[in-house]
Amino acid sequence: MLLAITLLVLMSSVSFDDIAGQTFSIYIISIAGAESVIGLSILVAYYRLRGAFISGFLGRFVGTTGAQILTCACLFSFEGDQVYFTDWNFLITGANYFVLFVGWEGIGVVSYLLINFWFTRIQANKAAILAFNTNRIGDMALSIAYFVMLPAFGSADFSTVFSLPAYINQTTITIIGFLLLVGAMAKSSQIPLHNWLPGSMEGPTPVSALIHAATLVTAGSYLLIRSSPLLEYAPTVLLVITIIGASTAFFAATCGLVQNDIKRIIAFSTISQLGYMVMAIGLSQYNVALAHTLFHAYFKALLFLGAGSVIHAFGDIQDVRKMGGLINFLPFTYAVMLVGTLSLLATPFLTGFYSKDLIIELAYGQYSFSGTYAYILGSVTAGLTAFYSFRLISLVFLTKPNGNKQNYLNSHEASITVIIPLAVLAIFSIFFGYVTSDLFVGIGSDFFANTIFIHPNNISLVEAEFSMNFIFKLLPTIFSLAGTLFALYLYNYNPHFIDSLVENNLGLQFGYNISKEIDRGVIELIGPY
Amino acid sequence: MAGSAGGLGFTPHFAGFTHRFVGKALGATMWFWMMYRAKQDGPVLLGWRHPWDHHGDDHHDEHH
Repeated sequence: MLLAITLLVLMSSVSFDDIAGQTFSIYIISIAGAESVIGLSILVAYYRLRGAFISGFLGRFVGTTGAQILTCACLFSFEGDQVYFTDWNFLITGANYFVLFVGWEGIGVVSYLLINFWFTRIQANKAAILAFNTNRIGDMALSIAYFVMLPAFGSADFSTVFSLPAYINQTTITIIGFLLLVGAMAKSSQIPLHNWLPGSMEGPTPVSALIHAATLVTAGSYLLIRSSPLLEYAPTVLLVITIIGASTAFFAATCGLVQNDIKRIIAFSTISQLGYMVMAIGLSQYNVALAHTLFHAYFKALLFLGAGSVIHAFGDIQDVRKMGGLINFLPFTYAVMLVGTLSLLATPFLTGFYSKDLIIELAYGQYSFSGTYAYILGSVTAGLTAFYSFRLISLVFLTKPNGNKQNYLNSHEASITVIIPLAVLAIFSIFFGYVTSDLFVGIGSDFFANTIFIHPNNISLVEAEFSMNFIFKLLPTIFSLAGTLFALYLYNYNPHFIDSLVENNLGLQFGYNISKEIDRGVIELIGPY
Repeated sequence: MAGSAGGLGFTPHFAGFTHRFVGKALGATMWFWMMYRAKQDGPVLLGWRHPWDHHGDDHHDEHH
């Protein structure tokens, strides 16, 4: 119901004939900030859907009744998910950096606790500690940013801090911006602070879907978007943000190509998409970054929950090399994962298309070196994303069965409590982008009022939309199509090609040269021994 | 548990009608939506038409 109210507010805020809509929009936008409403809508949507998923997912471990009791306990007491819900609310609705920091720390703590759900498992312990320690690095940088901000501005209040950047020494703004960036890098899993996210897949899949796909990992980009009035007066920081974001997107996509755990593939995909969001922030397109945050949340959560359904159906197997041929056993799960995958690839007219392709176009539309760097990496990453996404689809659903016969005999689709969230997310992954893209990224849209500030020097939406050669606009889509077709060909019609890469001496010799002679060799040349 | 007595044969539990139907419905909805939007906005995406060029349907307004 809260989601319905939130969506009603969003829709009514653009209905200029409706005085109720105008009142709602003034109240919400002036007090809570449009980003907060979006953050709330993400969280409420996922919280309700995920609660339904958990009942079905955890039912195996604690019994259906136990799972319902646990879920209800979390709803009504301040434990687990409810703490996360509360902390996330603090983060997105706080009116100053300190309240934001309370929520920031809180979600880190809850992330640690939830990754450690199976606390007797050593790998889960290690992953939880890694996640929390990496987040602490970001928290430290964020604290130091406050230590610089308070003397400079005299306040940590958003309304004060965002009014004054034009009158403050640019070096000070740049230092604050860099420190905020380090904080965001840890939370949003940018290189080199990305290691914790693949490890966090040790937690239950609903935790991965909510925290490590949709909400916690977007807290960093949310911080940067909220700080847009500050960052716009620090062009050096924006340049570094663009390069880090583009590099993260490309690097994570290359890592995702060679993962064998189904959740790790999607985790690296998340890191890659977070790179896109941060890249958009560096290009000063904060509204597009926020749109991608929201749209990505839907299809990535869909992919995670679908992966959870596959894992649950297949006897807790997570290795895609031991799956195969599940399309006949899990037709519904296949359908929703295909929807999520195509949306992730920014297939024209699905949800992902309206944000992801726009980010890549905006990169080129800057007509700067960093923008072109981001465009090239973003386009190549789109092709790599298509490849590993359809590698996952092929190995799990389409290829000949590679798993244990007993797993196929026991495989089953999930219950109605899992079907409903998956179906809802699939509907959003199809339609939501078209319905709301004009609201977020349309030319002349004033949805964000003055909560987002884009310096007039950095406005490039019109150039990106209307001045680009069409081959550059279509290149990411062409790369995606090529990656898709190559993956489908390689894994369904010519699987021996992959084997031949390691069976002959060429691949192994190349790997030997890289690790033994270049990596170790350089260290032995210039190192201490 | 699936499987016949004595461990012979392969008799898994395939998905029921509801799962298959909803899966097909979602897939069909997705493809239909993509084709529909491609018909409406495809020429703009491919650069054959500007976004502000009017559709042929707008000429019906002249009859009001």
